Formats: sequence, C-alpha cells, structure tokens
Amino acid sequence: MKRTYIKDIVCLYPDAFSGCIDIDSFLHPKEKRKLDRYSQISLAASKRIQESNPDFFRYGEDICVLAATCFGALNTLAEDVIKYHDTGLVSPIFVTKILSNMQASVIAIALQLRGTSYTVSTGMNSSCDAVIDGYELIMEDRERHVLVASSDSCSSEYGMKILNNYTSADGKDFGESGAAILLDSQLEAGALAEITGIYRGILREQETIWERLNVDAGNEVTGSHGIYLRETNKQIYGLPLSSGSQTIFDIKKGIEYCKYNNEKEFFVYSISKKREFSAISIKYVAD
Amino acid sequence: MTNRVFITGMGMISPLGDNVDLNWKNLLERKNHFVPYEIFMGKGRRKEEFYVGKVSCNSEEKKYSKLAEDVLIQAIHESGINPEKNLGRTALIIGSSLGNSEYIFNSITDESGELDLDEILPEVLAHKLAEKYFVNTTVMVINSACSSSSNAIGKAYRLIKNNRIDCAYVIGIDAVLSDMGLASFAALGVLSASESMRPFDVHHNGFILSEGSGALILQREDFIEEDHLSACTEIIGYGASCDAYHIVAPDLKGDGAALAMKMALKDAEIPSTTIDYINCHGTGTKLNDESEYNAMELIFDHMVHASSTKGMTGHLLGACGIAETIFSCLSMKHDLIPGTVNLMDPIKRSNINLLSEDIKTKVNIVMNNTFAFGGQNASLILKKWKGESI
Repeated sequence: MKRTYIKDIVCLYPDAFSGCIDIDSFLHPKEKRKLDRYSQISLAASKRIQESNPDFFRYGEDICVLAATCFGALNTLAEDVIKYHDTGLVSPIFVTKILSNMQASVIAIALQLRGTSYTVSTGMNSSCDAVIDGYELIMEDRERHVLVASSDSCSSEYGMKILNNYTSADGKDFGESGAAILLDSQLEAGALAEITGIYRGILREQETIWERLNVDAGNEVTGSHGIYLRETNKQIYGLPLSSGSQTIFDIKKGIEYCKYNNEKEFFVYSISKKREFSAISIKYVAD
Repeated sequence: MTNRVFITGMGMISPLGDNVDLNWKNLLERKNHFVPYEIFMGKGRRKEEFYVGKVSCNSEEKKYSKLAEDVLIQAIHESGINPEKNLGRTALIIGSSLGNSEYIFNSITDESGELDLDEILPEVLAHKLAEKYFVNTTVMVINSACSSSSNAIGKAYRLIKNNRIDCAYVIGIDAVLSDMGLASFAALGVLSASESMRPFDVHHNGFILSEGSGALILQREDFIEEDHLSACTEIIGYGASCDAYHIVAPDLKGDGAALAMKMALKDAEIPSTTIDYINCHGTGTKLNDESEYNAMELIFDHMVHASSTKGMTGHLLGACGIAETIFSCLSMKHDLIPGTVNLMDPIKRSNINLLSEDIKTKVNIVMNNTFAFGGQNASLILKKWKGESI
C-alpha cells in the first residue's frame, strides 16, 4: 500500500475591500473569458501551486486532477440565462462554462496533466471528498501524483438565492474561495504532512463525529467543519466558511497549528446537513 | 485484499423505454423514438426545430429526482437486495453533468425565491436518496460530463475491489432538454439537424440530445444472494485519463482515449485480444468518431467488433456511460452485438470492425468507452459470469 504525502497547499482569500479573489496575475484575459468565475479561481490556484512546485509537474502523464465545487457555475448561469430570455442568443461557450467537469478539465489542459480527471460535488464536503479520492487513487497505485483544486463563487444574485435556500446560517457571508493541494506518493521531494487515514459515513441521530472516529475528544462539536488536534485534545471550530474548498483551508490551518504548537497529528472533518461526514487524519511532517 | 465486483441489478429509463427489457427490445427493433422540439431563438425570430429523445415522465418539475429514484428502484428490485437489511458498507455514487436544466434555467428568472435544490444540485438529491435507501458510507457526485456515470461505476468498482465498501448504488442521470439546453448545444454545432444520428458513417451529422437515467447495483462476491447469481456480470477493469488538449474538441490522434483503454486492460490484467466487443462512445460528430476510431486502432491490432448504440438512444450525456454499460451486459447475456444504426459507409475500414447490423456471436468480454467534453475519458471492462463459483 502506497503512502500519501501532502506536498504543498495554496489557499486564495478574497481581498478585504472588493470581497473578490485577485486572479489577474495568473490568468490571461482571453483565458478568463472562456471560464466561469469559479473555474477561473481554481485554475489560478492550480497555476500558483505549479509555479512553486515545478518538479512535481514535470511529467504530466502521471498527474491526476480532481476538482471540487459546491455550487458550480452560478455566475454564468445567472448572466447567460437572462440574456437568452431577452435575446434568444446563447454563447457557444455557455455549455463549457456551466458543465462543472470543465473545472478539472481546464486545469488539465492548462497544466498539461493527463491522468484521471473529474469534478467532485458533494456540497460543503466536496474538497474533503476530493482529497479522500486522491488519497485512494495513490493508495491503490493507480496514480502517483494528484492535484486537488477547489473553488466556489456565489457573488451573483442567483448565487445568493441558492445560498439562502441551501443553509440558514452557515453561508450568509460567503462570497468566494479557492484552493489547491498536491498529494504525492513520494516523500523524498519534501512534504508538509502525511495523510494517515480517511473516513466517510453517515452519522446517526445524536451520534457525534468523535464517537464515529473513535476519538476521545468530548462531545463538543460546533458547526459543519473543523480541526481536532490529537496531542492537546483541542478542537478548532467556527472557522470562516470556504464552501467547497473548506477542508483544504482546514488542512492548511491544521498544519500551521502543528508547526507552531508542537502538535503531531490532527483530524479535519466536514459534515453535511444530512449528517454525511468526511474526515481525514493527518500527521505533521516536521522540517 | 481485493474483491471481485459484480453487477447484480440494473435499471434504465431512456427514450427507448422505461425499463431495461423495453430498452433492449426497442434497441434491437430499431424503432425511432425521437420527437421534434422547437426552441426559442429570440423575440420576433422564427423558432428552430431539433429532434430530441424524451422520456415519458409525468412530472416535468421533479423529473430529475424521479428519473434517479425510479431506476434505482428497478435495480434494487432486480438485484433482490433489501436496503433495510444489512448490506454491509453501502455507498451511493451519482454521475451527472447538470441537474434539471429546464428547472434551473426557469429558477433564475423566477422571483419567488423558493428553490427545489434536488433538481438543481445533484449532491442534494444524492444525500436524500442515501438517507432513504440506508446508505452508510460514501455519498458522492462525480461530474466528468459524458463520462460521468462511467467514472461513477469505476469509482464504485474500485471501492469494492479494494475492500472499502461491500455494495454500491450507482446512478447516471441527465435531463437537459429545455429551450436553452438545446440552444446551447446547437450553438456548439454538435446537434443533428435531422431526425436520426449516423455514428461512424462518413455522413455523420452530429447527435440528438436525449434525457434519461440508469442505475446499477454493484456487490462484492460474498454479498450476492445465490438466487440472483444468473443475472451477474463482473467488472474486471477500469481506466481513466484526460486528453489535456481542448475544452470541446478531442485529440484527433486519440492518445488520451487510448491511454484510458490501456489502463483498463492493465487493471483487468488481460490482453486486448480477449475483448470480443467494444461498445463505443460513437456520438456521430466528425471529431469524436475519428478520434475514437484512431484511439481504438492504437490499442487493437487485431480484428474486434465495435458499435455505437447512441444512434437509438440519442446522447444521454452524463447517463450514457451507465446506459451503455447496461447494453454491454445484455449483449453478453444474449450473445448478441447490436449494430450501429444508419451506418452505411464507415469512416474507415480496418481491423476495427464497425458493425451496422446486429450479429449473434459469443460475447464474453466487453469494453465500454465514454469520452467527454474537456477530454475526460473512461473505459470499463466487463466480463460475462459463466456460472463458475464465486
């Protein structure tokens, strides 16, 4: 069985003034025009992680791309449907902008990656499930290198309408998010952490995620996602919502916490409204 | 530890019919089920007409969720399982490219604010079905456009094979027939302007857009009820790749598609000479047909039968992989390869024997290929279960 290491993580945060992620330094205007905003963000995150890891991307045939999104192409849907109702005209690139598989595909094309490629959509659990899928691909020896890229953009009016129906409290302030993470079967090239376990299932009524994971963390679990640090038996929750990118943000935070607080191992988890959960245990690899 | 993976139940709804048997019967009878559909092209402008493959569904609004659940019920029934009883670790995986397009497009201009998320976000539907049918492990939605459900089958197969789950409900579904859905594919220039498709024919004219769904129950060897063994097909290989070439056009050389086939053969640990029949993606567009043929030539240097069944179902998009997997299973069950409808003058004649007529022959191992917009390829290898002990 192969081992899976986290080689690097990039998280893109919205600018405090505009509330949007700055992607212009990574995408050519021509490239941007062909993509919905959420695909632009995951492509920008992927290009940024490629820039700092040229060795990882040397042999594209061996690299798999798993994309993750919760909502998909809400901005294009909103704009183009209204335009169609008014004029009867549809852009030839409308289909390619709204199909969420393109989120993975455009990354594969831009970075010339020929391994397995698809998009995972499991709501707020999307990035956790995509990382788990990447781990499984490596563990089964089907792929050696995996890029997981995630993003969402709910800045349109339709996006807000969906959010209001989707969740009552969690996502009220959500705008956009994007992240990328590299999974590698080899440690030699350096790593931030190692994935040591994956967990997926559905929690029964009253059952906590800690009971399911067999972790003695007390019963306290607040919110749909978070981090549990094994050494100090500490939970970190109430982190800002990053939608389909949630888990990658949480993994980054967990690694940083280990680095500065002498922690060795942590769990990240994500729980849907229907109580489906996905969780990953991660061991910090010290410098 | 690795397990053998079997398909123990199938369900299917397409323009050809509302169940698996009817689909197979009408596929072989070659009855044309396509109907005209007029689409809005702008105020004051003439409506444009295309043929489409519609399913009979009594609820347009809930069509997407109904299509998914109805085929799942069919598959559960055929497999003889009882979801309420302990099936072991059970997963539900949906392959879909878009939700209910008509509902989505209307919801954007609808000002009521109430949205049925089952119809918009496939993951919401997946979570609902998982709860209703006692799923207790993985719940996932995979989107790789036209190869979505093939990748969903591949994912479920791997989970069972590697002993992470014992049983999987796999659903492939798409319902994109709407004015804007059709207008957007028409804008890409891939739709057939006539009432028929001509896959792999020199006069290929594009595809007819259809809606439909399919479901499979996948189980590991020791979880299969003895009474249902006769209905089994074994999944023995799965490969996936990406062309990394163009967002719409396939790589004409066929390298990416060939890579998926190569990986599937490697996974199955069989040589290409053992494949009896290839159920092709065969969309009837010039670029896909040529690229797919070239890809097959890269892998098969001996004579192999191949055909496309899309000419009869139309293009089911995210559901086509599962529908064609079902046809592949039936082809092995009946030792009959369905020919490609309207194939008069094949684009090429070589060792890839493109069949225009149905033939009766031993079919023990089938390769089923699907290739998507964006170059996402998936290849599955299925084997007839011949009664040997599992």
